[in-house]
Amino acid sequence: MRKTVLASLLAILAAAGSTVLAAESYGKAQQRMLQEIEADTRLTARQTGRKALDSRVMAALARVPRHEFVPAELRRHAYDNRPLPIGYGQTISQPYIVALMTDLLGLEEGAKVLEVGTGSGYQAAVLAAMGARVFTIEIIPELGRQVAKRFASLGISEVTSRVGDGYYGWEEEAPFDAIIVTAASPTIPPPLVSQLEAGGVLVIPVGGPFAVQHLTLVEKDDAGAVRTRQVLPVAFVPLTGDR
Amino acid sequence: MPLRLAILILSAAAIAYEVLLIRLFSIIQWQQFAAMVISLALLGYGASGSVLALMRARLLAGPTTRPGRFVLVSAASFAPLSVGAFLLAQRLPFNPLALVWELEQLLWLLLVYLVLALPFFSVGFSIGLVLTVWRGEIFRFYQADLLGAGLGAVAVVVALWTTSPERCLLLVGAGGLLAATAASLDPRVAVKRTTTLLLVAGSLALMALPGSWLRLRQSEYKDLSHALLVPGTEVVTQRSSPLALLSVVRSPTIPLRYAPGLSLAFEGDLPEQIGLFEDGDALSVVNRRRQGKSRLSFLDYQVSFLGYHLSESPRVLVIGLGGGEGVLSALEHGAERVLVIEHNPQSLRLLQGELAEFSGHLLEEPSVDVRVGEMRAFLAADREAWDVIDLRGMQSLAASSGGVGAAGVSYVYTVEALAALVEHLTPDGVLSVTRRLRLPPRDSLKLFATALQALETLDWENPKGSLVMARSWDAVTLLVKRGGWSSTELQDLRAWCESRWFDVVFLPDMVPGEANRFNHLEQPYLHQGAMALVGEDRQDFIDNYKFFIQPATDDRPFFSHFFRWRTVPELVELRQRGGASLLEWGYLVVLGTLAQALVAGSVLILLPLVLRKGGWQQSAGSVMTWVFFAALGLGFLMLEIAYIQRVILYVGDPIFAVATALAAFLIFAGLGSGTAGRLSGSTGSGLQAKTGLVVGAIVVLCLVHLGLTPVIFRATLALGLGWKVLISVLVVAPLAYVMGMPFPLGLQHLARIHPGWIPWAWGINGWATVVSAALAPLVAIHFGLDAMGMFAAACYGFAGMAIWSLGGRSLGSASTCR
Repeated sequence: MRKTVLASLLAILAAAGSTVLAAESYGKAQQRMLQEIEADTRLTARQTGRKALDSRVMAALARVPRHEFVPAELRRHAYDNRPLPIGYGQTISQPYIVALMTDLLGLEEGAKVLEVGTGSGYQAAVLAAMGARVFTIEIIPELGRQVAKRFASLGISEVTSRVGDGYYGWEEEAPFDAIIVTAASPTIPPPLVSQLEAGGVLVIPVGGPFAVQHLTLVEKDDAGAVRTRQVLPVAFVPLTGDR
Repeated sequence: MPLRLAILILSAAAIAYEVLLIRLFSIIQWQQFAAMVISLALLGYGASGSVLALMRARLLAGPTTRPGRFVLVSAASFAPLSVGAFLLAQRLPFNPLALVWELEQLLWLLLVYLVLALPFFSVGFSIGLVLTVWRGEIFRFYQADLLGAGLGAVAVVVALWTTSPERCLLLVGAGGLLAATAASLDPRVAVKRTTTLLLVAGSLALMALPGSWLRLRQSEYKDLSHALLVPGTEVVTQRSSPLALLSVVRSPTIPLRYAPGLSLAFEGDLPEQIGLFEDGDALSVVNRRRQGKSRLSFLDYQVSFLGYHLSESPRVLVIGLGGGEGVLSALEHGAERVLVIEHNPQSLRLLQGELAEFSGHLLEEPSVDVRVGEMRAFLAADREAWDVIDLRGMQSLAASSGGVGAAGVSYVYTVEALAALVEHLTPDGVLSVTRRLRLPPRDSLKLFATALQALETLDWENPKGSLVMARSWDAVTLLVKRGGWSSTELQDLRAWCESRWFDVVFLPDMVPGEANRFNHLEQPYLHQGAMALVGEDRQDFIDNYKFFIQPATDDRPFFSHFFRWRTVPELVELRQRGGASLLEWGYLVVLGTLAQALVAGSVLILLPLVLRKGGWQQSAGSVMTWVFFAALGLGFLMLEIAYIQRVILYVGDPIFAVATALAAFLIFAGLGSGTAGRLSGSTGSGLQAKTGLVVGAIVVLCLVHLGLTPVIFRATLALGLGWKVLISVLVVAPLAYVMGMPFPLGLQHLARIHPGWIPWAWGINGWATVVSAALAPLVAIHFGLDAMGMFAAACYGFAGMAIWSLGGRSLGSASTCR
């Protein structure tokens, strides 16, 4: 009995030690991640129209502990600038894509944002860290329950989540200043466009789970007219030999 | 005789397993990766040759029944290995989509190779051993091997039509036990009767197991896997065939809402839908259609509807049934007559049977007819003209964004195919082709260039005056009008696009500023591309574009090949910065397969043989043996693959085509092998001369075949399926017959001068076969199908030179060998 207690204590101490060590290394990894995002942004300035991302976006990314949103066995890669599987055929997006999408939304403090496809909850947490009020819908019940617990344990109260069909948006909270759709097969549901505030932006990544082909933005002007814009998140020009 | 029967059954089971693995991996993962995995797994054949060479003395020592018993055990082991290897391989966490991010995926891939190589090793070991031990019967055993392979190719296609792939796997596995049963009856094996009875019981038990005993684990990243995570969503029925596994999916709680190319200006609701997934991807939907309660107004808001806009009561040809979206569009537009060409009869049966009521008896409408077949074969025989021809290729985004289809052959999007389509238009008819929009533009511009070239081959006066292209945010439609567009029609099309927020990409009278208005790209890439393609510097533009957009032809039918070498360094540098989605993985997979075949073949097959103690003969003879058997392996498979591609276009039905061409090739080669046995029996030099003559005959016949086959196929393209199958067999029979001779003649020659080298030759031939399978798509992509034939002829030429020099130099050292 005494041996068991001693072993348990040692295990707890070891775990605590490794947590401290991990937190330090996570901090460094997060810094590296931010530097990579800045480098990617400079590289794709021509395609995205941005030489640098909004400093509030970068600050939000620095505040959100991404390692809390990835499966335990992949935490060592949490701050790599790459997508990671989170189960159920879903991925947590590449940090650069998360940063770019967040920036493209052009959020003001206190903006109301709808997210369709909560996934790991990381994107919602970043939006919340930007000072937005976030409403997020997840269609897969298991993922939705997991993420609700995660938000509670991390004390993220600015995000309201629910499990259900995102096609009709969140009518009681509409209109939204911005909408992000990260569902597996990209469509732009007309009800979401109608729940977008005039002057608002809807953004949707198009492509496979491990490779975003492009980002589609739906922009609604003050008169309510809608147009889309395709943003290539890669520094590639097809027509000429230039980069 | 029983041992020959055993080889025949085992060879049939092995080729059936190979075909079946492609089907199974297409279902659980993606076909292109399946081909890669399986071609490498075939190295098991080659590796068996190495093991035989290294263990030859031990295998032949002891009682005379010992080798036979090894054959029996090895054949029997195919049963657990074939079933077990697949079950294990599908449990390994290999995820091809994550290859660019995770190097450890390469290790999983390697493990998949090794696991799947085991059943092929057991087959290769059995056949290699009988060829090594009973050298006097080389011709008969080789004949049994080829005949078995031919029969197996046909049998697996029949089995896949009649039962599930899972059950087919059990039946193929039982083939190993049946082969062992046959072997057990041979006096050279001499086992107890109880062993035979146990083997019979085992094979019967395996055959009796239900397919549901096995469970396919589909990748969680496939569209169907995603759909099934939605509460209440279920697969209500499935239909399996050699073409695809069709899954019918209902989602009553959260409805499917699938309408690619739908305008954002559409404000209504979509109708209730049932999903049809092909191999867990490639979603198409059946829309609920009720009399008097139409919710089909969305059709008029899809960019694919553009082609119908200017026609009144058109006669419509729809290529590909899918879930009936094309037929629905035609009927909604008041088509007078609709004819659908669908290659998969299973889709047709579903819409005529279980889904008929849901679809509002779409296919039973008096104006609708359906034909089962391929587009090209139909066009060759059809003389009717159509007001609208509707062709849609809306592949899954996951697959298209990965660019995995580079090596996929398609005779639908070639210059010749588009020319045939527009020739079937009425004087004012419109061809409408709709595809998913990929960015930066690739297939849309290649399609435009292909249509332009097709019109030029038909000597149209003003090809660019016949083209229109428009796009939504996610799809692009190309229209080709036979009589050219009038300015009134162009104004109508403009107005229709504008009201739906679609962008015009190309109009013959387009003015600057019209492009890129509603769905904005950083630059109007599509418009710029289309304008460059109709300009005088078209070829310069095509040559300098960063993706390969040279029009596909029937000789190089790779529409989905966009890979350019000079873009690689840039994309590799950007691979983790968004470049991954632009890399054309299909081509890299083919290239990777070849590289791995060369490396793995060297490690598994050549190195052990080179390093074996005292066995490596540093003589010109050993090099020539290498050249001879490698050249035969390369040439045989290259010619076989090229012929299969020709027959696919000719016969129309790809499954019939593959089964026909493969069976014809292998069975006639088997018969040729038997004849070669009768030719032998002379002295070493005589045999060498005969082999040389046979190889020379192959080169000549090969060249004649390459020249005549296209002429014969063109002249008889309009005949019925039965005739075309017969002609396909007859055309290849003489060549295949002779092609079955050199390998056993070469082995027989080797048996007389260097019997110890037989397993080595077997291994090298197996390795060359794998290399040839990997090399064939590259030769076809870059040089065309005719070049594959020429390459094969050259291989046989090298083989001829090698056999000529082999005999004389090696005879001197013959006494050192057993």
